[in-house]
Amino acid sequence: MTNTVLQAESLSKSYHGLQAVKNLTMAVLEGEVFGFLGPNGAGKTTTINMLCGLLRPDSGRVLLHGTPLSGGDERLKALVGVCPQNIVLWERLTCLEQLVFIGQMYGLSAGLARQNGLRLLAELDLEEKRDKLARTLSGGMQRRLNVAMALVHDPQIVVLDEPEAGLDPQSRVKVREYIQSLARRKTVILTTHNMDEADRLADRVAIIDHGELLVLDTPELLKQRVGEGDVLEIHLNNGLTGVETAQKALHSLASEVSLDLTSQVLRVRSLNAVGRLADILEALSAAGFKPGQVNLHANTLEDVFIQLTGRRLRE
Amino acid sequence: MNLTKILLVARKNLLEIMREPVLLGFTLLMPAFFMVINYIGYGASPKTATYPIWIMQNTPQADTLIARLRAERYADGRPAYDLIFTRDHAAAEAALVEKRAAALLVFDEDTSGQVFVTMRGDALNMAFTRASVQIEAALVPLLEDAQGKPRLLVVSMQPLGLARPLSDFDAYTPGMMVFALLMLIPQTAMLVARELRLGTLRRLQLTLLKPAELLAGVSLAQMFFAVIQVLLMLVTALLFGFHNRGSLPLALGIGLVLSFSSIGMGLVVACFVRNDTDALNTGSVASMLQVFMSGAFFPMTVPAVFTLLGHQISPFDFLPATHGMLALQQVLTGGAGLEKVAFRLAAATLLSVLYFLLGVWIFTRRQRVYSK
Repeated sequence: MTNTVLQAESLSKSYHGLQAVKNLTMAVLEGEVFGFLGPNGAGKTTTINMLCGLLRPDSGRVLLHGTPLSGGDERLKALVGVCPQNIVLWERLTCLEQLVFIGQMYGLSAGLARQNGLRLLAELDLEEKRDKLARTLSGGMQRRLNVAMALVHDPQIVVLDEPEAGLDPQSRVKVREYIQSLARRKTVILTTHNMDEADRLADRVAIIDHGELLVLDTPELLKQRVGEGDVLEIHLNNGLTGVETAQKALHSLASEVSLDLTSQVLRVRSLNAVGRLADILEALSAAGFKPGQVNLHANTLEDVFIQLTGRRLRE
Repeated sequence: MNLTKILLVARKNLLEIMREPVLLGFTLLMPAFFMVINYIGYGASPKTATYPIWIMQNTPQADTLIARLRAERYADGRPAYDLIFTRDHAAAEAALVEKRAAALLVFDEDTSGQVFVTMRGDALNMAFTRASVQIEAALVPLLEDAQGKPRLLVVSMQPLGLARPLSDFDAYTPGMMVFALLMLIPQTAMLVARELRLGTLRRLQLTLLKPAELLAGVSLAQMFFAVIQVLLMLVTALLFGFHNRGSLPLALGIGLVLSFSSIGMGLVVACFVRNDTDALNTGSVASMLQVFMSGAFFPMTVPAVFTLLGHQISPFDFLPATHGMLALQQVLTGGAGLEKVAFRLAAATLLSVLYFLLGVWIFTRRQRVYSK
């Protein structure tokens, strides 16, 4: 998973004087699930459209397997499958009809398109609905068919825009498992507002805001590096109340230390607290505390996201 | 252009429309329904109608003139006038207002004993304008003879070139066909706009399908329905007694050329709308404007701008519907053959191709995938 499939080099794009993407450089690796996160209006869609050859950058360039893309490159169309956030189906075509039709529009023969369509319907638990009109399917089934439509021509790169939006838990699990099954076989670019989804699925996550790339790393490393940190709740067995002593003992290990006097719980906040747990407990013991039960509230990707993009509501 | 993809797009569109009963019914039956309305409205009112003429005879010397009117008959033997005698002037005036009378004729004599006739009527009543010319043609020679005057004006009226009387239903049938085919403009625009609204157009743009192939496929499906529409309209018209005087295959060909131009214009409209409702509204406006400008219902008198191959060309001649309308009229009601309508048919075909290409060009520019 080290080959670069898509590479953005200093991409910039403006709309009517508004800078949508600013000098963005990043690379998507072959076979990875690439989480692309950002608030509304952050520049995600613009970036994705430029990466997929759908939009011409004002400056910068996109490289596909190291080769620069020219305007409207037809090569890329066959290599990319896009699953839009909205359900985009022909309401009065059956599931199989639309899969075969769209496959043929990508240049597949009728036989291969049908074969791929049937396989996808089976993989996404839609086999029984193959001859049903799309308009008669439930919302969850329509969204699964929406995913299948992006894959029928067997693309190398799959762009999934909010694939779990509006799904019931069963369908969400099904789609999530399917995306996981795609990993390694295909390169998946996943845009989502669901941080839990990104955390579970993405090998690497890029967070963008105001058109600028803020961070790009694995979810684990981001959670260790960015945010307010993990929270450890340590029950103290010897009833000590010296919070200043605790703060002094944990000075180099924790960003925040507080003590709940009624329940004798010492609350310690620190980035990568889990990794430092042994050091923290040792420092507390050395300072005369007797740590008991420890509860952990881990730093989440959502904490990382909010830390980077702020709490201000976006349009 | 990939023919297979064009056929696949056409098949998809046909499947979608055939699975939508309301749209299918609207597409196929509405034109034939227009023809039924045409019959209901005009089928019983032949152009050579028996006009109700109210008479106030104030002198017995008018007997000869009235007898002449009573004797006036059309070639098929029907009387030209239904003469209604009255002495109540107010009632006669009311009949004119209510269009129960096409004209009121008052026969008087002057102090020298000479008969003179006063003809009254509603200038906005088409029956009056037609009947008055016929009455004038019948009575003026008699009045001139009675006064010993030479003939100053000879009026000769007959439906030239027509073996049978031309009814309003016959006269309006070509226009009704043009009207129905112009409705393909909003229909085509709606089909494309729906793909835009649902996002399926974007999905297609992501594939290897070219915009021209997409539009050709949409047009092919529409042409399929257009053939059925034209056939149904012709059959309906014939069933309701339309007196066809020309070649039906030629009329069908003209109808298809008109359909093609409407589809092209529908594509142009689709380039400027965001959804089905916009397409319906904008397409209907474009359609209705052309109904009027082509003279489908009312002949338009527009000054010529230049002459081409002996034909005076007015601004409205840049619409395929204008040529299609004239060609259909000449074939269906005038019995003209291909050589007589060749110029109109060629002009309609050329303009249709131009509008179609314009639609493809604008659509491709506005909907191209790799946008700036």
